[in-house]
Amino acid sequence: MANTIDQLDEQQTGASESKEVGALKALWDLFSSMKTAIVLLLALAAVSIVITVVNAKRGDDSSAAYQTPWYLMLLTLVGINLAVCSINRFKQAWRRTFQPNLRAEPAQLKKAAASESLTSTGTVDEVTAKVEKALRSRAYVVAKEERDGAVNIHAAKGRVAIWGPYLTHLSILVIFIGAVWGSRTGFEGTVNVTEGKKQSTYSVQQKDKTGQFVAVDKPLNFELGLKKFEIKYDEQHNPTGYKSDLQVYDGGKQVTRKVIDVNHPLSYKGITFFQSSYGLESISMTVTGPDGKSTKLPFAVQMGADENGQQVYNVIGMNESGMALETVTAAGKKLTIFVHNLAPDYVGGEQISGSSLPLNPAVQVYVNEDFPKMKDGAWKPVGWLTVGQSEKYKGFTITFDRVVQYTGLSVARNPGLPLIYLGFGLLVLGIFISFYLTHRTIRVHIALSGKKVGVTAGAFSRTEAATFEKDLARLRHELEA
Amino acid sequence: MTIQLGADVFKVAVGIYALAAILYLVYLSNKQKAIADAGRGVLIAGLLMNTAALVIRGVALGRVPFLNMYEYMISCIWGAAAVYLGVELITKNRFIGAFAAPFVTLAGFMAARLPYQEHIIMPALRSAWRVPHIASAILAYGAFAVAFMMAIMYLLAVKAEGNKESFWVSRIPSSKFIDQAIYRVIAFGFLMQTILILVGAIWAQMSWGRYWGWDPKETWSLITWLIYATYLHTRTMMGWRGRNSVMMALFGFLAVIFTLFGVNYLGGLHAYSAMK
Repeated sequence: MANTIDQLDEQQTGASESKEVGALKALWDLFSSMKTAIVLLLALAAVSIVITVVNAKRGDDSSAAYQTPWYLMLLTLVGINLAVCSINRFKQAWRRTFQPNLRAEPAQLKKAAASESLTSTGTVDEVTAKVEKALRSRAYVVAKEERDGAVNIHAAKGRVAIWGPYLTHLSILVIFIGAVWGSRTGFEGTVNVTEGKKQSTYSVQQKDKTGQFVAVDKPLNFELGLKKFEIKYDEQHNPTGYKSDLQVYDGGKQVTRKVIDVNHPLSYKGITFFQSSYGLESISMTVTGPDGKSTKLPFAVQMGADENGQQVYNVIGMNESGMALETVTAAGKKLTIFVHNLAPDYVGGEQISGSSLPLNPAVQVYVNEDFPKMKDGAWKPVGWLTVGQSEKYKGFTITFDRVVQYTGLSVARNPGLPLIYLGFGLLVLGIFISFYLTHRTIRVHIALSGKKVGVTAGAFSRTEAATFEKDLARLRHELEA
Repeated sequence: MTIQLGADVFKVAVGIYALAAILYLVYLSNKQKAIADAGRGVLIAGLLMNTAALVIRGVALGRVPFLNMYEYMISCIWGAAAVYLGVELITKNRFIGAFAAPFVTLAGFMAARLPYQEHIIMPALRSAWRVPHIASAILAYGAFAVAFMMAIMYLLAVKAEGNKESFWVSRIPSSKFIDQAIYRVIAFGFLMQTILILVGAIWAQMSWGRYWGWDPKETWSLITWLIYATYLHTRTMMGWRGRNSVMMALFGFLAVIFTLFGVNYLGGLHAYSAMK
């Protein structure tokens, strides 16, 4: 019997003193039962399995299913179970650690994981002193009592191990509390910042009255500016970094500046900005007329995704029609520019764009001298222009000036995080203590047996395969000497 | 130092593992200690080749080879072989080699067939957290794999104990010993898996601003953790031993397999570790 629970310890706390109301007591007992804990653990696992499979079938990669009342209820029940179990067993653990039951019956000691029955010469006191010495030399903490002329010794080692499971369960409660606290007091949102501009709001998804999620703008209470967004590439044009050069302005002054990257966020006043996405906000064209007069023409870009999830870029006008059309008049001549297409990674040929990364943005431009006439070859192709490139058309020069990028940031404030991290640390410590530290007790009963002194020792541990050979050998050695 | 060289060296390592497996299996049938000792020597040679494969790949790529499924598998196999040698040293039982060496070889054959070309590292993975994350994954899931193998040994041992004529009598440790060993290995795996999940959570917080997002991989690692937590509770609190307990260990490993391989079919942020 390698794993014998010390029954002498169990007996002491077995009696329940409560006279509570029946139903409340029944509920408490239900939550303190080990079977309930097992059912809850397996139910949580089973429900989670179902959710992952159903989500995958629906193509749903959101976490909405885990925020439904049913799932939260299950988590709450686990939390209650943990709390009730911890409270229920606390008194017992306290006694086992600090006020152990000293009484020892030889019959029970003989049933222990390891036991030893010896006789020795000398008085009970002399033998007791030897036993104490032997146990102390094996690093046991020794307590004793005299009862009916006999001496009972309780020796304990590794008592911190008693608290491993409590620490483990407590740490999970700390994580739960941190998670609830964080979700109540913190937020998760997004903010897009355009190069050369500042943002003073972020947007969060909130349920409206009909239960639909809608984006709601919230104030940041400071301003966030973007100097430049840049993608770094390796030789094969695989992105190796997404860098946003961010500035924080508070009270009209720049208070901090940081180039963030995917694993390197920026934090200010408890709010953290994480690199999340990017895109083109707008492009700018310049048309120079035959008279040398230049007009800057901005066009907005709308980012989207095609059926394969690849990014697509649609150029839209800044005017009311929403068409990417702008008309210039110079030297009495009128010319309408139409930006028909935007290729982020222009390579020419049939493929046009090599990838959806903005490696080499180019626009496909058409012009029309007789707008709003649309048909019969009214639109003349100018061709593809990359950034900085110009093309002439009947005295006009059309230039693709530049692209303006924006950076997409996740913005989060989570005041529960310190608790979460504390819980993480305690969890690892608790599990380590539970499995790698061993609480051992050796109880010894010493009494006169005829002319000699009889010594009965029993060793207990809740840890499977805990061994006492060396401890008991030391005891034998001391008594034989 | 090229990727190709690393992959070739790994194939040689698998061949050496196969030879060790054969020697251990011969020992299982004829009980000649010299054969088992030869098996151990060959296994150590295989482990050295496996080490070389990892080092060559690491040098060729200029990073710790802990990223895609191929690297993960060859690291796991390295871990499994090393753990087995430790087990043999502690238990002095050479028959376990007849289970461990073929297991390592089989996993090696599977790993050698995975694509080993250079993998594009998405920027989110360029983090110092990657190393403890994957290292704890190797230890955790390696331990669970060892527990699974021992669970199968347990079933054989029970059969042997019921039948004195059985081939396995005197070749396999007692079922009680195996049962206890499974518990200890799972306890270790559980600690490692906890570290794995928590390091992943901290990393996710640093990269994406949320420590837990119910990504399928995250959720499945939690499911696996819950199953092993149940195993540990039934054992320490409800006194389960033997068959029921071992069945929980077998059940837990199914969840491990799904967490490692099946989840890739559910999509999510860990999809880059897919086999294709």
